[in-house]
Parts: sequence; structure tokens; C-alpha cells
Amino acid sequence: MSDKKKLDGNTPENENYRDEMDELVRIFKEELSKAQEEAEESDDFDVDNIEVEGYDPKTVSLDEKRRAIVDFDNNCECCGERPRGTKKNPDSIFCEECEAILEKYPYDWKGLVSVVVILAVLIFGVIKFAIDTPVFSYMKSGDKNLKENKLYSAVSNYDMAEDCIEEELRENYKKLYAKQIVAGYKANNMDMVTNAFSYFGNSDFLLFMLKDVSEIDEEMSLMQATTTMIQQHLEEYDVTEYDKIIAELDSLSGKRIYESNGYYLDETNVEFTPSGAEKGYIYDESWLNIYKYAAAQSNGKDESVTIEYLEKALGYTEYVDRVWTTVLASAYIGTEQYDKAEALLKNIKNSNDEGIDDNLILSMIYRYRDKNYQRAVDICVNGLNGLSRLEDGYDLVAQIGYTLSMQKTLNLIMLGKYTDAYESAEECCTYQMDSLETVNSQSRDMLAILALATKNTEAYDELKKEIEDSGEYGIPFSQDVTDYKAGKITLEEIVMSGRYDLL
Amino acid sequence: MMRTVYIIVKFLTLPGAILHAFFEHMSCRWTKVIVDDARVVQANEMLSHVDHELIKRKSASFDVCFIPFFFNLALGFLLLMNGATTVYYFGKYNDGLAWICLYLGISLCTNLFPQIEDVMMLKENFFANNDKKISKILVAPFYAIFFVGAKIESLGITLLTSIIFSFAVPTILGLFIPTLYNLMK
Repeated sequence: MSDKKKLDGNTPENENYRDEMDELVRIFKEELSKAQEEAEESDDFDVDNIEVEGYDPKTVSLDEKRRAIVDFDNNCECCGERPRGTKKNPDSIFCEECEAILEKYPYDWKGLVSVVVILAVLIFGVIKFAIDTPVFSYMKSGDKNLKENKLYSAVSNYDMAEDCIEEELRENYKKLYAKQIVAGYKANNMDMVTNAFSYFGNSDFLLFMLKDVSEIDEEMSLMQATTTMIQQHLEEYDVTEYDKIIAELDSLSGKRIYESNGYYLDETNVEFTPSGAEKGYIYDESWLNIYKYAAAQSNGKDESVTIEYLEKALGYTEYVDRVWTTVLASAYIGTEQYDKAEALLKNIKNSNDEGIDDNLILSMIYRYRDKNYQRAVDICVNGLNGLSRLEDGYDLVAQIGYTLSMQKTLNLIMLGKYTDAYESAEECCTYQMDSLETVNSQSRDMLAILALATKNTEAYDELKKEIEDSGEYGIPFSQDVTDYKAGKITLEEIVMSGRYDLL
Repeated sequence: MMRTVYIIVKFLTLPGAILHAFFEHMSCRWTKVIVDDARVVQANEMLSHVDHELIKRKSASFDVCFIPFFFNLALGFLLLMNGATTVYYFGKYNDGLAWICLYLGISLCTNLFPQIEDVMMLKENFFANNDKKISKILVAPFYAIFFVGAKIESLGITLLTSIIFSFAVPTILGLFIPTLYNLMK
């Protein structure tokens, strides 16, 4: 707009513009006429001389020729001159020549090299993943179990994942061992936890992805420091010195412990001055209370006292809560506080969906409170069946089933089914042998009592002979066995005494 | 600014960019689309793409968008299968091959999407006429994916999305590998 205005005037500047435009018009006209002359001289431009492929030169009209030349819809999409179609593909949008050229359009060498290199890496990678597939599958199954709180299955799957790895390569699978620690710790499988920890160095715990493991390590270190120091402090006391033990344990509450080169010292060691390089802990209240509970138990203190210590022990450490809640529930049953025991059932169940401690406590409640022995037997059988249905890898019935077997035995006695009870007691001893590599005296005594109840003198004599053969190491039959043999005590009294409730 | 980020991301993920250009070229040859410039490494927007003529055919415009996307995704996933599971899931931090697989996998997944011009061409060919609706319905989800992908790739965000994707790979594999393994056992 402004340019037009400028040109309208007769200023010297506009004169220059006009001259330039006139010059351009002149050049354009010259070039155009030159091009037209050249084209007219050329044979190609002579429409009459043009031969168009696909058209009969004798009959084709000038219009048809012109249409053929400019008909891009039917001509080769590449050159636009020759008609489309090839011998191989008559419907091709290209002519024969163009298609041949296009098909050979070279690739950039960098692309080809990249493809070769990436494919080589890919092949190695896929082979490696295929080798690790069993490990991956078991670990994923373990993760799923852990999410569903099925801790025994999780432990079993992680264990099988480890079995799929060659021994010398195992230390590389840090995350597998991290998962083993988490699952093993929750399932109280301390063998697995200890083994898994051996694959970690202290610096590994700085990795944020191993935060869970680091927390467990902290908790275990605290427990180890506390229990080691408590044992050091209690060494000088006899187990019967109840008041002194309690006073000593009370004095440790809130004190600091220091770890230096694997040794522990606490604030009570006057010669030790912490430099700051030592790792510090504060005495774990839960273990202080568990030692008080143990001292009270050993000294035959009232159950209300032992229960109080147990109640105080809970709520500090996850591990202690998991393990000792069942003991507390059992103590409540012993003092006929069934409602409190029932209230703990949910916590017990929540700690492991596949655990049997809830079956154990429930069967005890049915026996002691409801006298519903058949229901109690059913609960024990369900618990044992549940264990045997777990994913393969661990024979959990043998590992932890003896507690439920004993409960089943006790309830069968109450139902008067002594032969079944004897078989169940035998099963209990077998499980215990598999699990602990020994049979504890309670299980052996119960077997002896049931041998007497079923008049199986041969079995009783055999058990007695085993004790005699063991010499000074043999633990004699308990008072219950001798009293029952002498007819001083009934089976019902033995069962309801609570002395045979294995935990 | 975004152009610089885009080019930096492309150079950071050069193997994936080269492979995408290679597959685009391959699809052009497959669909007989004329390629004007097949250089795969250029310091401009054409890095990871090849310069080709306008595409008027529906199938060709779809193939040129889909084939590089599919191959880069498939190869990227296969590479991440080893890389991501070994590094993230097994915690084998000293495995060199796994880190290479992880890098290549992320790099391939960063360069999945076509140029926005190619996506527009796809839209033009499929949706700018009154043809049968079935092809429109079938192509619509791909168009949406390519359009969004091309937009975020032009901002360099696909590097982040592919890293996030790599973290998800062990979970995705966990959905079917244990079942398949148990069936084969």
C-alpha cells in the first residue's frame, strides 16, 4: 500500500523504481521469446512427432496426445512422462524405469550398521532373559504372594528363584536377596534372612532401592545389640534372683548402646567414652520386657505379672509384635481372658495370611471356653490342610505343623478317640523330628500317656527304653506320665492343664 | 528452545533415532514412496526421519507412520525385557550388557512417532473424504496415538515417557511370563 503511494508520485526515487520494473519486464519478455523459439526448434515439442506409449500413433488425435502428456493420473507418479504399470505389477503407479530406480534407492550406511549392532545386542539380551526366565517367574510369584500376605509361599518362591541361579552368580541378584530378607523377616524365617544378608555389604544399604532391607537391618541390629548387652548384664545373676534381675533391666531402660568393631558397650561402662564414630542404639524396650517376662516365668510369678510384661513388650518392634502376640494370646487363654485373646486373633492373622497361629489360638479357645472339641479338631485339620496345599518348595506341615498336631491330639483325647489321638501324637513327634531334629519332652510324654491310654505297653516300654539308653542325657518322664500310670490323674486333667499346648 | 531440546534428545537417543529413520526409509521403499533425502543423521528436525514426497495413498501414509512405530516399539520392548528386568528388578548393577540393552531400549522407545506432517497426511488421506467408515474407525486410534506422540516427541518429552515405560516393563512382563513359564514347566 505504501509502495503504491510512493510510485504514484513523480519523485526521483519513484522514477528509479519504474525504470527497474521496466527493465525486469523487458528481460522477462526476452527470455520468454527465446525459450519459445528454442522449443519450436526442438523436435520434442512437435506434438505430431511425439510417440506416446500405450496409444496408436496412426489413430491418436492431437487432443489425446496432449492429454496423455499431461495426464498425471495415469502417468508414472515419479517421472510423470511414461504411463504407469510394470510387467511385474500392471497396477503399479510407477513406470518400469522409475520403479527399478526407486527399488534400489540406497539406505544410509549408518542405518544399516545400527540395525546390525542393535539386532546383535537384542539377540544376546533375549537369550540372557530366557536364561533368567525361571528366576523372574519365581520372583514375580513371590511378589504376588507377598502382596497377598501369603508369606510362606513368598518365602518358598524366593527360595526356588535362588535355586535357579548358578552359585557363583548369586551375589549379583541384589534385589532377589532384598526380597528374601523382607519375606523371610515377616515370615520369621531367620535362616533365609541371615543367608540373604551375607550377600550385602554395608555400602549397599545406602542405595535408596534397598530402603526396606536397610530398615530391617536397623531393627535386627537394634535387637542384637539389646539382647547381647542384656545377656552381658544378667550374666552375674542367678536365675532365681528375680528382684535383682528386674532392677537391673529397669536400670537399662533408655540407656544408649554403642557398637564398635562388632563389640557392644553401653553408658554403664564408665571407661568407655564414645568418639562419635561408633554406631549408637537405645535399649529396645520390647526385649527388656521379654527378659522380664522370662524371669517372671522362670520364678513362677503370677500370670498377671507375666501378662503385664508381655503387654509392655508389644508395640516397639515389628518382629517382637509378630512373634509374641501369639504367646500373649495364649497367656490370656490361660487366665480365661478369652475376649482379649479373640481380639488379638485379627493381628495374628494379619501378620501372615498363611500362618497357623490363629488356628492354634482359635482351637484353644474352642477347647477351653466352649468345650467344643470337634470344632477345635476341625480347625486344626483345616490349618494342617492349608499348610499342605501351599506351593511346593517347603514341607511346611513338617516345619511348623507340630503345634497344630498337638492341639488336634489334645482335642481328640477330649472326644475320647484315644487311638486317633495316639496316631496324631505320633505324627506330632515325626513333624518335630523333621523340623527340630529332636522330639521335645512334652510331645514324648504325651505319646507315652496315650500309649498307656490305648494299652499299647510295647510302645510305652520302647519310649522308656530310649530314656534309659540315653543315660545321663535322657530326660525322664514327667510327673504327669507317672501319675497317670499310677491312676492319680485323669487324661482330661492333663489336657486341660495347658502344659501340652505347644507354641 | 523446544527445537534445541528436541535435537538434544534425538542425539542422546541416537541409535533409536537412526533406527527410526531406517525403518521409515524401509517403509517408504515398501510402499514405493519417493524418498528425497535418506540421510539419517542431521542436526535438524529431520533427525530420525527421512525426507519423502507427499503421500496420496491411504495405505502408504498409514504404513509410513505405523511400520517405524511398530518396529521401534517391538525391538525397544525386547531390549528392555533384558535391560529393565536385570537392572531394575534383579538389581544386577554390574551387568554391562543389561545397561546397553536398557539404553538402547529407552532410545528406541524415545523415537517411536512419525513427523507431525506425516500424521497430518494420514488424517488428510483417511478423514478428508466421504469414504467407507470402517477404515476411519480402524485408523482413528492409531491417528490419535500418532498425533499425540508426534506432538510430545517434538517437545522432547518422549525421553521421559520411555524411561517411565522402562520401569513398567518388569511389571508388564510379570503379567504373563510366570503363567507361561508354569504352563511350560
